Amino acid sequence: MRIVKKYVIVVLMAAVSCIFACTSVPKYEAPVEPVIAPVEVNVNFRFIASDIGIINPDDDKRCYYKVFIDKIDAGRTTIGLESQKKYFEAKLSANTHLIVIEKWVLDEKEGEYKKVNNILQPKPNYYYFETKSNIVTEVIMVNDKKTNTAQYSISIQ
Amino acid sequence: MAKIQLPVCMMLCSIMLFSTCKKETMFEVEPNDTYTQANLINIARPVSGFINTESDFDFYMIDVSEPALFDIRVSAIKGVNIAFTVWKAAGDDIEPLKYVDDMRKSAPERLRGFKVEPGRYYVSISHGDKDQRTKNTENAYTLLINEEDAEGFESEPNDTILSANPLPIGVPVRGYYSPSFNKANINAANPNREEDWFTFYVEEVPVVCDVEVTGVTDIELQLDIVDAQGTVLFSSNPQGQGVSQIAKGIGLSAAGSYYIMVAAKNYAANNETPYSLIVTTRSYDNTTEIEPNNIMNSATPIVNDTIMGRIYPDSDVDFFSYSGDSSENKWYRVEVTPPMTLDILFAIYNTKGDELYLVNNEGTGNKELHPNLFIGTPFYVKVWAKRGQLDLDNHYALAIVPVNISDMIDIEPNDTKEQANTVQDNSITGYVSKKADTDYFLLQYKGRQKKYFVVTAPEKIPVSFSVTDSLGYILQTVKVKAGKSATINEIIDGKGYCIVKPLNDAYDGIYNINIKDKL
Repeated sequence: MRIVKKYVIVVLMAAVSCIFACTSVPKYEAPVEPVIAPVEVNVNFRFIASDIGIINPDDDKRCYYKVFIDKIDAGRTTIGLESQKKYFEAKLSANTHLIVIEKWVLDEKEGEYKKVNNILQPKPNYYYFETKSNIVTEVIMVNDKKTNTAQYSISIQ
Repeated sequence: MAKIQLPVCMMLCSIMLFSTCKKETMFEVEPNDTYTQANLINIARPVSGFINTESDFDFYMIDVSEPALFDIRVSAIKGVNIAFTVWKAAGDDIEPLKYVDDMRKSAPERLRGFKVEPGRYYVSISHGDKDQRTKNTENAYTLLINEEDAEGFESEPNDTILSANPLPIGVPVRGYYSPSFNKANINAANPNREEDWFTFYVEEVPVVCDVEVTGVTDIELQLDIVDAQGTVLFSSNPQGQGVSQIAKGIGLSAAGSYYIMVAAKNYAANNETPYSLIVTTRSYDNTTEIEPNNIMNSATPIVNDTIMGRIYPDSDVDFFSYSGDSSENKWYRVEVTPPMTLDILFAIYNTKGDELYLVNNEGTGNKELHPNLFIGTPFYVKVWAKRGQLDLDNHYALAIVPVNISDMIDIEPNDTKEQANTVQDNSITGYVSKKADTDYFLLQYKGRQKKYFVVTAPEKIPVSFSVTDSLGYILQTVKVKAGKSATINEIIDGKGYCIVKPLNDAYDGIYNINIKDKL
C-alpha cells in the first residue's frame, strides 16, 4: 500500500511539473510585417524624423529614412528636406519593438536617392519602444547634422 | 588592141571615180548675206568662207529629198567666236530652227542628230553674240554637212514642252547632247540649257511607268518627268557623269499627255554618242509604291499588309498612307525590311504632318521596326535611306500589321516622365521598342500605399526596373535577367513613376509588371 502511494505521488508530481514546464516556455510569435498606411487602416505607431544644425539651404537635401521594425524592412518615411519632419506610420502588434533607421539622400546629379555613408548616419540609429493596440505611440527622432547625433523621444497619444 | 584598151579604161574609170568621191572644198560666192542669195551646197561637200566683216552673214542652202539626220560642222576661226543658225524654208520666208553657238572664240561649232524632212534648209554662218565682233579675212571656216540614218532619232527642234517629240511607249528613241547651248531657252532656272522634250500619252489609268535614259560619256544628265499641268513628277538627282538615269514606278493617275525632258548639265555636249530614251508602262497592282511619293500629299496608299518600294535616286524619300478599317487608335507593328545594300530609316507621321516616331536602330541590310505603334488612322510612314545610298534593282518591303496585346499600355514616346503612360489597372505590359528604349509609367494612388512590383523581363532582354518618388527621382532599382522575374516593394506617396530600361542593345521584346498590394 505504501509503495502504491509512493507511485501515485511521483506520477502526480511529474504531471504537475510537466504542466508548469509547459506554461513557463514563451510562446513564439513570427514577426509581423507592419501594415503601412492605406488611409483607412488605424495606425498605432508613428515615427517622425528631422534634422537640425543645417545653416546653409544648399546643405538641406531632399531625403527620407528607411525604417526597419524588428529587423524587418517596414518601408520608409515620407520624403522632405532634411530640416522638415518626415513621417512613417504603421499598425504594430502591442509589444516592445525595435526601430532601426537608415538615412537616404537625393543625389540630384544622378537623379536617385543614395544611402548616406555609415559615418554620416545618425547615431544611434535604433530605438526600443512599446506599443499598445489602441494608442498611438509616437517616436520622434531629431538628428544634429553637424555631429550626426540623434536624439529620440517618445510620446503616447 | 583590145588587150591594151581594157587596162586604160579601168585606170580612167578609177581616176574618174576617185575624183568624184574626193571631198573637194568649194568656196562661198559672195554676196550670200541673205537667204535669197544663199549658195547651194551638197551633202558631204565641204564649203569654205570668210567672216569678211564684223556683221557678215554667209547663207548656204541645201535640199533634202529623204528624211535624214544632219551632222553640221563649222570649223574654228582663230580669234573669232563663230556661230551658225539652221533655217527651214516656209513659203517665201524662212524660219529659224536652231542657233548653235558655244560662246567660245577659236572653237568649232557642231550640231549632230538634227533631223530633217524633205524640203529646203538654210545654214547661216556669222559671228557669235558673246564676244566683240571681229572679221578674219585670212583664215577661212569650213562648213560640212553629213547625213545619217534618222530612224529612231529625236526630231529637233524639240527644245520646249510645246515642241515635244511624240514618244511611243516601249520604243526607244535616241538623241544627242548637241549643241551645248540653246540661246532661245530663257528659263530663269536653267538659262540657255539645251533641252530635248518628249511626250507620251496614257489612256488607261492608274498605270505605273518606268523611264530610262542611258548614260553618255562626259555627260551628267538631267531627267525630268512632268504632267500636262506642269507638275514635276520626277526630277533626277546628280549621279555623276556617264551614268544613266532611271525613273522607276512613276504613278500616272490621270489619262492624258505626260512629258519627259532630257538635258546635259553644265552645258556639256557629246556629238559622238547618242543617248537612248525609253518609256514603258505597267498596270498598278497595289504591291509597289507609286512615284512620286516624296511628300505626304502624294503618299502611296497601302492596301495590302505589305508594299514594296525602292530608294532611287539618291536622297529618294517615299511616303505611304495607311487607312485601316476604323479611325480608332489601335496597336500596329510596322516593319521595313531593306535590301542588303541600304541602311534604311522610317518615321511615322500623323495627318497634321507631325513626325511622331523616328525609327533607326539598325545598320545596313537590317530590318527596322516599331513593334507597338498606337495610333489612329490614317497615318503616314516615311521611308528613306542614309545619305548617299540608293538601290535601283532591289526593293525594300514595308509591312503594317494590326496587333492585339492585352494590358498593353506602352504608348511611345514615353521616354521621359512628362510622357509617362498612366497605369490604370494593376498590370503593365510594355515593349522594349527600340535600342535603349526607356519607358515611363505614372502611378497614382490615394494616400501612401505600399506596392509590390513583380517584374518579368522579355525573353532575350534583361531590364532594369525603377520606382521613383512623385518628382521622378529613383527610390530603388532592380535588375531583372532576360526571361526572369523579380519582385520589389516600395511605398508610393500618392504619386510615383515606374521606369523600365533594357540592359543590352536588343529590342522587340515584351515585359510585364504586376502591381500587388500583398505578395
